[in-house]
Amino acid sequence: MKNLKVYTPACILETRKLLQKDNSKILAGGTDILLKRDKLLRDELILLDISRIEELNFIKRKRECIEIGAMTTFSQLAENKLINEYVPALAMAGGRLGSVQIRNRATIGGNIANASPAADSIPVLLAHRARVKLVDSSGNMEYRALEDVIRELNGKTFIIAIDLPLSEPDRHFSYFNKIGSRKSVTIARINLGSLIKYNPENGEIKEARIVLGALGRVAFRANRAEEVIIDCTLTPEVEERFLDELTKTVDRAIPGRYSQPYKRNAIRGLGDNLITAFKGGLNNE
Amino acid sequence: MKINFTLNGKNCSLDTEPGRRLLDVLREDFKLTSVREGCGQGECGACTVLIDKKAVTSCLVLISQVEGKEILTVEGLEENGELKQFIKAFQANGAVQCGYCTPGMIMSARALFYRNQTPDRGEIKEAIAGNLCRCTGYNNIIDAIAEIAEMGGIQ
Repeated sequence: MKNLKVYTPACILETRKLLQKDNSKILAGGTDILLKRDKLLRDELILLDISRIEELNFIKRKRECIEIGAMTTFSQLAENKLINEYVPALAMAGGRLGSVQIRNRATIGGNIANASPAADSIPVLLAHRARVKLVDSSGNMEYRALEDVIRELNGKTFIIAIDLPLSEPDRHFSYFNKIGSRKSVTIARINLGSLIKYNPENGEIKEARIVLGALGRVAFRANRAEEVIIDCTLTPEVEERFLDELTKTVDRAIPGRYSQPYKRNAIRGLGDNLITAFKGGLNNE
Repeated sequence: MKINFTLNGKNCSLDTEPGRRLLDVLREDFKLTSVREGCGQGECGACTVLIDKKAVTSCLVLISQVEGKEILTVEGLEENGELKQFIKAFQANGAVQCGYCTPGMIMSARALFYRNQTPDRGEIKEAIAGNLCRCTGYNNIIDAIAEIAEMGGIQ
């Protein structure tokens, strides 16, 4: 079998220098890029294996945020105490991505940079106001809001970390869910990441960020559905309007697509699950 | 490129092309033919091995990525005596027909037992969700792993 060309940079700066070669690409966990082995060989691409750069794998709490190294795997995210406490949606997404074997290799940086329309981390990260720490071609590091760079991501994007502002768990509801063709080991047909701020005394929703994926090239916020539930407590009438608005969101996103009849109904199930989980969380307080 | 790792308990130093798949290195260089290729896409689990006690599909791991890691295959379980428990339980429960998926199933189960020696059926199903079997319908495999769990896990 013909072999891929691989370099193993020892540090971030060395990686950035090697990325300046036209035919180089980052190899993170490998669960996306190595599926394209034939194309990589045909195009004579060079892979930069960054698995030896230890400073890229971490999860730490800083004063106002949680910072996650780009090489952190989804298994690590699913099991981490900080993530489960402050960003449970990311732990949920991590725990449902692929199989155990894939979760043990797939990285959050790779999931973002690969930018699949059905990527499971991206709706969660957008809902939670994530920033990505990027290294540019001169080796300068900068933080950029994920929602600003989401359309520019490609194989040359060198993400080294992601940070998420801290949200107080007692007044924020962080949620992820997805629908696929089966219960487990499934690519999302629709996925949903959400961060809802509420008044813990009466359950009134103060802010809502609901991001939908696998409904277009890039995940997006369901602004009109969010507006239905802001400054409200959830009554049956509000809930029905919310689900109707989600259906209309799908109709606007994929008009005429063969999956539209399915997804415009399936989204109601996701919306209903969100409502049920939110109310269940309130009852537990 | 020289790559250093531990394989089935033994230190190895291999001078090879860094872009080779771990699956191919294990089969061709070390003759560990329990590690099988089913799909080459990380979907069937037939190539499952453990890296640092965690299950991975070796078809999606390059040999350059295992520097300093500990790799375990079914042959390693045979050498350390742990395979016996799996064989007994799998035989008793009719969990093997053609046998192609069996090494992958055993390695996924072994990884589960490293995390939890007494998993319930739901945890067992999740652990082997990335391992496909065309023969048994899975229930016998789950029963076999559950039987080991009922006895307290891997001794």
